[in-house]
Amino acid sequence: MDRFDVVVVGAGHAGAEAAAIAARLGRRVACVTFRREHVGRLSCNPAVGGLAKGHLVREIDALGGGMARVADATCIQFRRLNTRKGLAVQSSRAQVDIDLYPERMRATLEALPGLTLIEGEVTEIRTRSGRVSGVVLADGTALEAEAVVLTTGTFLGGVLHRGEEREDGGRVGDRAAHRLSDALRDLGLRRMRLKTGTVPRVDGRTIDWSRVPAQEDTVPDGRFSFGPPGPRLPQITCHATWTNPAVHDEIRASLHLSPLFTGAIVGRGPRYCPSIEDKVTRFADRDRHLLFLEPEGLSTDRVYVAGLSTSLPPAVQERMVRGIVGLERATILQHGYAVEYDAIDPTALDHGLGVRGLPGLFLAGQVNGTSGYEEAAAQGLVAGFSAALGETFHVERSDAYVGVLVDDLVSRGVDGEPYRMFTSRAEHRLLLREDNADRRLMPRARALGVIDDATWARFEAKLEAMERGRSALDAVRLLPGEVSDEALEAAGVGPVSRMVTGADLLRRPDATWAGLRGLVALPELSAEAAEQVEIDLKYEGYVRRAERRADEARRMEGVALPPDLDFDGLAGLSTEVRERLRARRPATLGQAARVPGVTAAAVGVLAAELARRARI
Amino acid sequence: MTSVVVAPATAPGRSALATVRLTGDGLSDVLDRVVRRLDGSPLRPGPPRRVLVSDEGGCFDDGVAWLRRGPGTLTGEDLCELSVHGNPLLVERLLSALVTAGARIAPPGEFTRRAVLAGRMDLVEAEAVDQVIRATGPEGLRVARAGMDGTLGHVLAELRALAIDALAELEARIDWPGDELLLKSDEAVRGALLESAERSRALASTFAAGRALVDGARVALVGVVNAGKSSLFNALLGRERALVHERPGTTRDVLEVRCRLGPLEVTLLDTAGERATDDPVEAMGQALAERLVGEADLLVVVLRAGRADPLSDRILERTAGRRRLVVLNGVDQAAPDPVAVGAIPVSAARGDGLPALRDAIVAELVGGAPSEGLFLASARQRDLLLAFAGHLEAAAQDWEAGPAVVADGVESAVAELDALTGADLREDVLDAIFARFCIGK
Repeated sequence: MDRFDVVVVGAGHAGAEAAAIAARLGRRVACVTFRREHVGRLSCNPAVGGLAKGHLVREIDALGGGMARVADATCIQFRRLNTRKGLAVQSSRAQVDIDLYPERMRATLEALPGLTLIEGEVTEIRTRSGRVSGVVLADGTALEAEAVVLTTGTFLGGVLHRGEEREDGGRVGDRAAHRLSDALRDLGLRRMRLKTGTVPRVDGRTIDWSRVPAQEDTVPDGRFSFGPPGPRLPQITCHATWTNPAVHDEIRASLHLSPLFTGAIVGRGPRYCPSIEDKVTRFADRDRHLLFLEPEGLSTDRVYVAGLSTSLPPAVQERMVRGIVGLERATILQHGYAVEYDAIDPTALDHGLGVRGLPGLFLAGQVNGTSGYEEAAAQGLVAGFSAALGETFHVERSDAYVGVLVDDLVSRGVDGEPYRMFTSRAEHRLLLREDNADRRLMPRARALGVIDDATWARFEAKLEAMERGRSALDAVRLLPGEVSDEALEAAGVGPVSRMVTGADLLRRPDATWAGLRGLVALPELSAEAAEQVEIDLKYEGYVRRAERRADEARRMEGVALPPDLDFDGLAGLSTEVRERLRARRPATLGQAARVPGVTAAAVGVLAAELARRARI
Repeated sequence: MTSVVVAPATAPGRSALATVRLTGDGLSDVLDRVVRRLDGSPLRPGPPRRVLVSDEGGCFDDGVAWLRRGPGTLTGEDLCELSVHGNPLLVERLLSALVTAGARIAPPGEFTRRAVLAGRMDLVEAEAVDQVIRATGPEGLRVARAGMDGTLGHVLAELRALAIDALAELEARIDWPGDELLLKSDEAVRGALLESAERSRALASTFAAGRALVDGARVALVGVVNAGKSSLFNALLGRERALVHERPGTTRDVLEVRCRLGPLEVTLLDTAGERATDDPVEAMGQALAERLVGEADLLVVVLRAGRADPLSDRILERTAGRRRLVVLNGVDQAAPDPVAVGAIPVSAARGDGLPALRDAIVAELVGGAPSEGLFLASARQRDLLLAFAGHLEAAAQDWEAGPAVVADGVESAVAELDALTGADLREDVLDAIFARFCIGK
């Protein structure tokens, strides 16, 4: 029998992060996966990041996770989204090479001392005197462990649908894990049925690229990681195309064959990532839908048709694809399909993603009802920290999207459709920017020993440069007439009618550090440091307001609800509220307020009870 | 567990009945020590019962008690209404017996506070309870009723919905850019923010009128000595209340009399006229007048027809920023003066122009901007509405900073509105509101 500190079941985006961070924290880690070449596999689109997800990737990096570095090393196109919507909501998105990304992630894991990759299927979770003691593999091998992190993705009770065809499996070509699903049920965890889908992949050699416009707004040197930059792969171009009324007719004529509409699929699909069947039905008045043609890598001809998620029968998919401009002669290499799978109700978990009432068992990733690589990786990191440290690794909502994600899952739960991150889920959005993820999180990760010296040195240099920049701005005094109006205009600051400081100038909407350096005495700063100084000044007012609110929220989070608090003994709570509070057992007043169905009045009752106890 | 509290529910004084109310957990334990049914059995929840009331000195009265189990009660807890004979001595003794038995005297507003905490009413309704009790006239009752029956709540919900709708549009711009969603135009969203702000400002502007309707208003007559203020005071009241004499400086004290003007209960103040004086009593009268005038809701500046004087000009100048009416008295004796254009001509002696003056006073106090037929009567509600509007206007102004910043402003605005309806219950808000309630309500 093999002994480990932490066993991670699954090596997708959640599993890889959980295993890696536990190993970085010095634990003996086993990571069990069906097949080792599937570590960090991109089962859906060949891209990392995107709106709100880019924030998660940067935070994962600042916390010592691997996703950002692997994405940077395998990036074949980098873009910044929402650049005209304000700094807080700008996100990065990278196309990555679908073959190189998993290879690189596996290499990262294999290079970590103390981490063992094991091929196999976990069929049983062992417990001893009320806590987890290890797992058993299908071949009978037993692995003993202090902590077990389950990251089983869509493999629990997975069923694939393509037209009227059904087969078992969590992903095309992979079998499902039914025994583990039953094992979790036996542990008393409530399961729910969810659905997700994927798009057809076509052969790029059969696309008429001359007929589809190229995507121009790329940032060739853009990166996720705060660490030292590595070499960049050759870059590719993505193209756009659209569906049309003829294609819509084709889809409508075949709706009776779609498992979504025949009732063969029970789980509800995500509203934010609808299948093309859904789009055509729900937005009936639109005569076209935008699609992106995303090459999956440098050494493959597969092209991902983003926006065309479907579970229609293969023959219909062929006709549909060939009705689209540029794809008239395209060959489908893999048809789209829908997956139904079991997820666990995440409200059974604590803020470290540990199962309440069963010490040592952690759940992370899609198994908790989320969608997306980034959401999975963020959870893997939190679960990995908690499992390795032996205590809840709690990230506050006001500190990171990671905190928003975990708190939403465990306090509010998942309601019928897979949970995806949006910036609107973060009430402290103006504080939680991609650009300051390092300032928000890296010091904590460094203190735990998971940030390497080179990365930390870059961070400290950036802070030092910002400080230098700010003092220089404060020292600058510019009088009217000192600089010509033309020069001021050219620097984007406009006329000066009274004495101003450098900070006053930089606060003006169109002023930049680089522009000001031509006018007044300012030191040269790295682009990142200069950007931070600009943002800090330009958004000072908004950020101050947001920080006040965050402080207020932190106070609510700081008010602990005593574990012995008897909700039934509190007058003024409705039966429904009592039941919900009993079921969720919130640890703080802030968490209680976020339990769905808990009214503000009920929070008042709790607050009053705490105040009463404090007086006694 | 909450403690048992008790408070008189009826006004002090002698009357047929006096009622006290008790609420809290463990109510029966308290009641059983003071109240028994006529057959000697303990009082249990059910219909109202005849009871005997006793303390250690023995049975001292009989009455009727109605005990109901929570959570279906006003406070969401067990609640008992207990009526005894209406003598303050008996009520005193009953309260003292109940306190000895374990109850505590309720702080002001405690019953309503518990009702809000139990989710039985929201804060707007709770404030309306207070207003219904305070209302000084039928119109005031109607204003208060609008807070209680949800009319006001409905308008607030609409304002909130406008803001939330705009928020949804902003979020869609951020999280689903260029997507399949049919977004409203930027102008429409910005317009909705400004519209919501404008409507809430309009509602906030009804506060002065609403408060006047609920609480009544104080109207002060001011002017130089011998302008005829006391004559006008008597004429408005319709009786000889103030001493009138042609000798200047007759009025030395401030006279206050309540009267009804249309829908309003008005407290009319007659003040000592202004002039330089060596008389210490007259000087004290003038100082008192100055203070009370400062607190009045409306000034009626009385000028003497045909007699322009620098002191009157100074009074007009000094009160220019106040809500005021200018009255030219004595038009039966002298022609109106060119200085006093726009003044209301009256003759206190003959009664000319008095109906017009009464109408002008009412119009000044409750006219103006009646928004959707609703009046606010709570300063807290007005302040929160103004803050709501302010955040929305700032958000609209920040449009160029991008939807995330705008949305942040709108969220701040909604938070203000939520403080209004109690969707966000902070303890200090509660304390501020409930401290204003009369005991037991």
